[in-house]
Amino acid sequence: MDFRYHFSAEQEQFRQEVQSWILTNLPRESASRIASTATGPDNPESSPSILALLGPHGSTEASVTPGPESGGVDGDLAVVLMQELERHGLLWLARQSTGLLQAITDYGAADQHGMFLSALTMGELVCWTPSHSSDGAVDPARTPVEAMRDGDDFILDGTDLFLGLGDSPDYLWAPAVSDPEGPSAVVSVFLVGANLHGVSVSTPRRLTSSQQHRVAFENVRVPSYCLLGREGDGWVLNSLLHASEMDPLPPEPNDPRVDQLLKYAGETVRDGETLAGEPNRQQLLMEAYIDSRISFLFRTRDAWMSETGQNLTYHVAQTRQWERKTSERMAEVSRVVVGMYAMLDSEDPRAPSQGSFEYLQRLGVAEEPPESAVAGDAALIANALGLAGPPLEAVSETQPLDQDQTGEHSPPIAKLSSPAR
Amino acid sequence: MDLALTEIQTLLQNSAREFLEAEMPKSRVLEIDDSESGFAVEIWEMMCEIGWAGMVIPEEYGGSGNTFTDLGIVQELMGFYACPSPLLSSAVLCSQAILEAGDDAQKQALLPSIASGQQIFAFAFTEPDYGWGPGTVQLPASRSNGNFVLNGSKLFIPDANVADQLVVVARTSSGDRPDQGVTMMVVDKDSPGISVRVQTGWIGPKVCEVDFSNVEVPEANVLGPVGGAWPAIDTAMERATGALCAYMAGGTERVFEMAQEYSQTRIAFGVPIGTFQRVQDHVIDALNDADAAKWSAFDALSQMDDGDPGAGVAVSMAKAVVSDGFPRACDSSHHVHGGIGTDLEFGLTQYTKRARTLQHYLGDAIFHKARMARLMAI
Repeated sequence: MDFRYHFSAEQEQFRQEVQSWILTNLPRESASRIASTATGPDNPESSPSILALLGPHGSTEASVTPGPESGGVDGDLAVVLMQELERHGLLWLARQSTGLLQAITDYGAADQHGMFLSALTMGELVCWTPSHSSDGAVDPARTPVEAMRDGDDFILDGTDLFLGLGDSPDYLWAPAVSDPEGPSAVVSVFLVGANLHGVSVSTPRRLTSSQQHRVAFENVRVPSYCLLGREGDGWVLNSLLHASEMDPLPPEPNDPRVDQLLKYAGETVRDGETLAGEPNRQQLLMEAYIDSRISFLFRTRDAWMSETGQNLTYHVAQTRQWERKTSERMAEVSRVVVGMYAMLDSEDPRAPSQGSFEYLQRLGVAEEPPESAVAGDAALIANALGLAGPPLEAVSETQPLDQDQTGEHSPPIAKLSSPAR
Repeated sequence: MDLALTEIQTLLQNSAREFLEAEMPKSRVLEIDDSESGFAVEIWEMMCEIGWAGMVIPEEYGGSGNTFTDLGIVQELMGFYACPSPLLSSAVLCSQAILEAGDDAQKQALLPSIASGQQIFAFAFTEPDYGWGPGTVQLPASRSNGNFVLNGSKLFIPDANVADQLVVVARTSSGDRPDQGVTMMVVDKDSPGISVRVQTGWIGPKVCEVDFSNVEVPEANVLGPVGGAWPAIDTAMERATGALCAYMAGGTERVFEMAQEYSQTRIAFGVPIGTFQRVQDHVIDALNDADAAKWSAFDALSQMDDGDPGAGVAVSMAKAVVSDGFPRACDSSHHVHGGIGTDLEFGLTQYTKRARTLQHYLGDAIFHKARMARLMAI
């Protein structure tokens, strides 16, 4: 077994290219793995497509995420791309681009192909998408925007949250309930010009720097040619938009959050000893290291399973759930180890590590992107384990959970499958 | 990155599974656990016959020179089936101690009998002041007429009741540091003055109190330098800990699977209880513990095989993970099973007992997190 990822010279060269491109083109975002030390503009004047970067490296018409079916960029390069984007808190951008292009390619009319595909790829058009995901946590019936037919047009009303770079987009991927009075929710997706009368954009203040925006639709008249696919395709399109969220992420052997915390605790002396030398704090520090290392091992497993064509079932959701819990735990550990100083941000001259511990406090409760919550991942795992299926036919008598028929029930010994379940 | 088993490892895994499936039904495990010795000689002989006792002993000393990952594959399955045996004590911990500290004559004399299973060795380390650091070694070994004389007690020693030989860790002097003055020696268990008592309680595997009363040990039985055995002991324990982690990972996997299966088949209020979110949470908690245990254990074993300088950290991390995770997964599984889980015939308690005993063996999570910090020099 080999748990190390070996990067080739070509991959390292591509990494330089990506890093340079990110520094030039994109703001330094709040990142899930690095401190928020915003050196770039919050909202750059241009919002280039991440796919523009990939032109010389292959097709730009499909996925940029790694995997055996990855078509946007060679799988090995995609690993590097995803790694760098994640380090800069921009993973969602690649996923958004992937989902948008895939959905428009598969469901768009010829006019929509001509209008969107090339422009999105080249970064000439910016399209925001809703900031919630397809993981089952979102009820289509609760889509907050309604679309009422009016002749050949639709009238959109409601407010939704969107994810995107910049102050305002060119287009919005707007899901809306197109038959709100019907027996079940019929959700459709519209590609709505952001300059249409009745569309207004605001950016709510959030705990972490965010590219999440609130968009209100007030009697917005949308021509029917803006409909993507057919009426009622909304749920499928939404799933397609978010499909890449279930792709495994590349392993990250070093967690800068842990490195910073260990460094600070090892160098800072209080009450006559280093923070790391105090036994209780030392235990917590090691727990933070362990949580982070398990994340790495889970990601390594997922990436290896994906590369070798194995069926990923609960794995990606498990990894994501673990990482979300780790993020909460990191906030707690840094608070206990660092103490009050953990609450000082980068603007305070006494803040340790440029305020990175303060940022962890925010991140612990506001992971970006605001996709599924831990409970959503748990639902996915339960489903993959076969726990959420329909009732079995052979129904025994109902009994309280803390009792059982005595004796005879004995689960068969299942075969241990290794190395991956 | 390649987490696949080799072809030979897959064959090893399949044959181990086949053997344990046939020989270790839960009724047999319960029977062995209930016996006075906690040991089934016929099972042990079969294990030795298929070469498990010599896996990590070099060929020149009668073993097969397998990797620690190979050993982990077998240990993981043994844990999955809750298989009781002195394999870890004798064929891993003691063999590695002899390999690390013994001279060639000692290795030639001792290791082939361990590899063949002809003799069983037990590792006598812990004492009434229970712990796994060098400072907890207080059993005095004083010199007398060219021998060392042992007086005192060792506690919680697995397999001492069925062993032929003991590898005893004793203190021959005090030093500036606790690791100075620690000496390791092979002691014939039939030596005059040794008494062994199986300790009672909800403990699995069985552990013993070993009392030494003026036990004379020839100086030739000393492994490594007098007073300077700690580095070899630490290395041997580290390797055995890696193997133990795989065993505990297998047990964690099994209790997760039991919880999953039971939640799919146990009906309450007309539906499988697995459809209840609270039950799902327990199953998922057990799954997370099982996967964390498995991958941290095999990461550690792989680093040991590669001679990676970070292997010590990886091993201690894995033990911290399984020491917390295995008992916690058992608790989760008990929550899912309710009353039936406490039925001894059902089988879950065999794992719970092991989880709570092995949690401490070779160091608990607190010990190993402190060891990690020391190795990482923070």
